[in-house]
Amino acid sequence: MTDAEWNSWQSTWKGAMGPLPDVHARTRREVRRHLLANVAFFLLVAVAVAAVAHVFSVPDREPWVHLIGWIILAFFGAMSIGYLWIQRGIAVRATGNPRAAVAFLERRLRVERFVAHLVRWAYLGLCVAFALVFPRLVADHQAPKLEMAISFSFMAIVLGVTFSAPWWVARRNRPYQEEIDRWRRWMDEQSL
Amino acid sequence: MTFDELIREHGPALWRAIASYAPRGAERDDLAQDVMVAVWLALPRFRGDCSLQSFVLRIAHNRGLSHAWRRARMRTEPEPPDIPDPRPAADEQFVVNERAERFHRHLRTLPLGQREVLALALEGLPHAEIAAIAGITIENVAVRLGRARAALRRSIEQEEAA
Repeated sequence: MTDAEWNSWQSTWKGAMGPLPDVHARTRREVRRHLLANVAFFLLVAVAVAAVAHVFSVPDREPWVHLIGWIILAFFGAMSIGYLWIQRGIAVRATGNPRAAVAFLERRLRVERFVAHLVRWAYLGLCVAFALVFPRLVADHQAPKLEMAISFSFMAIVLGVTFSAPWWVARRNRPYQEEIDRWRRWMDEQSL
Repeated sequence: MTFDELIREHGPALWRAIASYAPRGAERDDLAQDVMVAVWLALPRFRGDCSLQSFVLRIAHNRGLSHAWRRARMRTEPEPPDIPDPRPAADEQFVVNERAERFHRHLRTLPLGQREVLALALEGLPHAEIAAIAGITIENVAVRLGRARAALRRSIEQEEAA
């Protein structure tokens, strides 16, 4: 290619211009929506932390009450990390390279698979521990059998959900995985 | 730099990047909205580790690529013909824009990897910056650029011969 041809292309290219839309109103709306979502989420976390802090502030609590408090705090901590991580991913998808966006989606699916397995075995472990400890804790109560029937039936329902988590997570993620595969094929076709 | 100052300085380059992914009409308007909002939201994250021009063009091209993906997923027919510019033909900018629109139409026939590199090279960006934007090596930029130029020239020659 000659320099003259390149210069002619470049002058054609740079000579073009057109109107760009005014996005002030739309963008302010989006920023406000993001802000509101963040405030609502962290307000919820703050309420939960305040409630747990109240539990910790009362002296002479039984140790297992503190343990539950720590579990709730850990849960909300994990939720906050997940929330911020997803927000970061949304930002990557909005402005990042499509390969980075696909890589993020793939990482997300991997993490979900891992968490599903973690939840399955962690909850099973908790159930075993609960089944061993709970009958002793309620042995002196007025209606231990009723308490056990209620607790164990709820536990069985939750165990059903958590133990099948890898299966239903895989089922839910199958369309996303297919979409990612299609996206990768398309990027290869387009030499991206 | 405020968003309005940025658009005053880099608006034409943004518009050209948008035009290389969407034909004139509603599709281009939608993509333009999308790009402008993405630039606005990303501006506070600009840390100065590249030029502002690279920063905004990276966003525009990435949004353009996502747009092309959505388009490819939703329909398979070729892009619709351009909607004519409503301005009078005597307008000097009209003539320039019509020539540019023809050029953009040829550009949009290239595979996206080549199109992105060629559009950035036409914008005057050095190979190193193009490589950083496209996420490829400098050698790869040179290879893609060579192929893109050849393909674009073929496309223009075919139209002239027809």
